[in-house]
Amino acid sequence: MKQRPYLGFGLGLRPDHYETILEEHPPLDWFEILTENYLVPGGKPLYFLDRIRENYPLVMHGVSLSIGSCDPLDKAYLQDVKNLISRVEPAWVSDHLCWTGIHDLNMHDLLPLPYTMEAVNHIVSRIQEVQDYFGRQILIENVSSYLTYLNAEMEEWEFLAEIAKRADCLILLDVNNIYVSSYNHMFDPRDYLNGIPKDRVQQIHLAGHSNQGHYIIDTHDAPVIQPVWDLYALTLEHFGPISTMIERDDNIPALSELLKEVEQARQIAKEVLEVPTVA
Amino acid sequence: MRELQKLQNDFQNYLLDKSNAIMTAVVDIEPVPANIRLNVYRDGYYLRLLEALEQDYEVLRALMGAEEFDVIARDYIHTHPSHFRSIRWYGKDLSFFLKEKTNQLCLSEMAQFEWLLTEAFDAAESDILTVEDMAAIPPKKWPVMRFILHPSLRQLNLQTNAVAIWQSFKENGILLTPEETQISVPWIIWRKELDILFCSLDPAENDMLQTLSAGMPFKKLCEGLGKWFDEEKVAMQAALFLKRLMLDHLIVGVKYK
Ligand SMILES: [Fe+2]
Repeated sequence: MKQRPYLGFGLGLRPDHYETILEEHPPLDWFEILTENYLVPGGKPLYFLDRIRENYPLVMHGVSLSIGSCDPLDKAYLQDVKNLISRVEPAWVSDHLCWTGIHDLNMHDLLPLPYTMEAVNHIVSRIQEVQDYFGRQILIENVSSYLTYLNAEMEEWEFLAEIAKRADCLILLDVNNIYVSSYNHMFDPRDYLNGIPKDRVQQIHLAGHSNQGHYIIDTHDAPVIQPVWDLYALTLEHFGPISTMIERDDNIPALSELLKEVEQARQIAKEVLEVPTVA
Repeated sequence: MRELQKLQNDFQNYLLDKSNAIMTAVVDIEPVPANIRLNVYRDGYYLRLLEALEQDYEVLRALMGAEEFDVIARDYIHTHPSHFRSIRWYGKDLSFFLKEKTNQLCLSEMAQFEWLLTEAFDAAESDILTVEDMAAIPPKKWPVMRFILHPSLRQLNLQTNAVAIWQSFKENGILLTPEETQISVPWIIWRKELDILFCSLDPAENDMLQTLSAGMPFKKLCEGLGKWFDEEKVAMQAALFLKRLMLDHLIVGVKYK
């Protein structure tokens, strides 16, 4: 198995924390940036991006690739992302296994795909096109979903695995999303983990969500809950060391609060792997 | 791809409140029926766009009141499905929309002002022309010199006290009563380093800025000033205005053609 790049423990970069990061230089191994936040001509976002990049490795995480859409790929978007890649020199680039709109509209959401061979074929060729265009492999992330389609021909993890293998891309495994979807669709998250090709998982997301009783919405507005930490431990047992980060998009607390969660991830990794984490 | 396309078409139409056709394609099992599952997406769509509008138009929302803002926002969302790749641009047309929908000028002017602030916030960067750079330009070139203004510069004319309302709300949380002014006042908004600045212009300054924005040479700038100042003061006034623009980082370069 070829050695996957390993960054250690990171955090999603949010504007609320720009100044604290530059002043305090918190003990984080890396940051993930939201690609779209920096596809702007100038001003504060790019100013802080450049400063933070001087001190930390970054990875880029997009929400608008719409890899599963039946619309043609947005070439102008791809070009902008490519320019940002040159500026940031990220360790890697990711987006989601979803679609965001059709007929040139954007629903600004990570919408669920049907797990069919038709969709697999469609997405595989589009990922290949994107990877050729960027000249590098991309990571695709499993999203949370609240529904499934009647025409499904396979399980979600089979869908993800098949696409990753055939497109020769990498995987960003969102452990919270596995938990959320397993709750919403009543599957065993261990089946999910077992179905994912080990050599393709390059990053992990951990996040909080809001439980509505009969279903869970993936809101990224709360701390990671214990069952997700447990599933994270299982994930590391299964896959070995993988670069991990905390994702918080709403209800954003002080940086110090999030650092505690990052530290918790570090501790779990230490216990599970019983090897020193990144120096 | 026909099946996938139909599914996406139907799904999107559900989010846009146009059709329920997607219902028959979704697994419907207890305890959460298909429509509840779909509504997680439909409600999410509306709430995300509403949140984007609330962020861009904080003072407008305070001025209208949350309820009325919500009504207008819902109407805007219904009539303006997003074709932007980033939600950052979604609220772009709200001031035009308000102009059509209300007869309260202050509301559309507030929306225009708040939107232009967001535009200045992440407009392109540029090196700036300093007073020293300017002093180094040989005097014989001055008459034909044309100025390039900072890419973040935005200009607008307001006939209400929208800016005063904005400032008072931001500084003290106090909402002033909207008032229409006798004449329309020119304003500019721009970014100096990382700060967003704005100010009103007097008629002479506005004339000069219009001349500069139109790419006219220094010679024309002085000619235009003849309307406002005695002939011997014209060159000095023009130079003073240029110096002020330079100190405000509003001039980024000169060209001669
Ligand atoms: Fe995620």
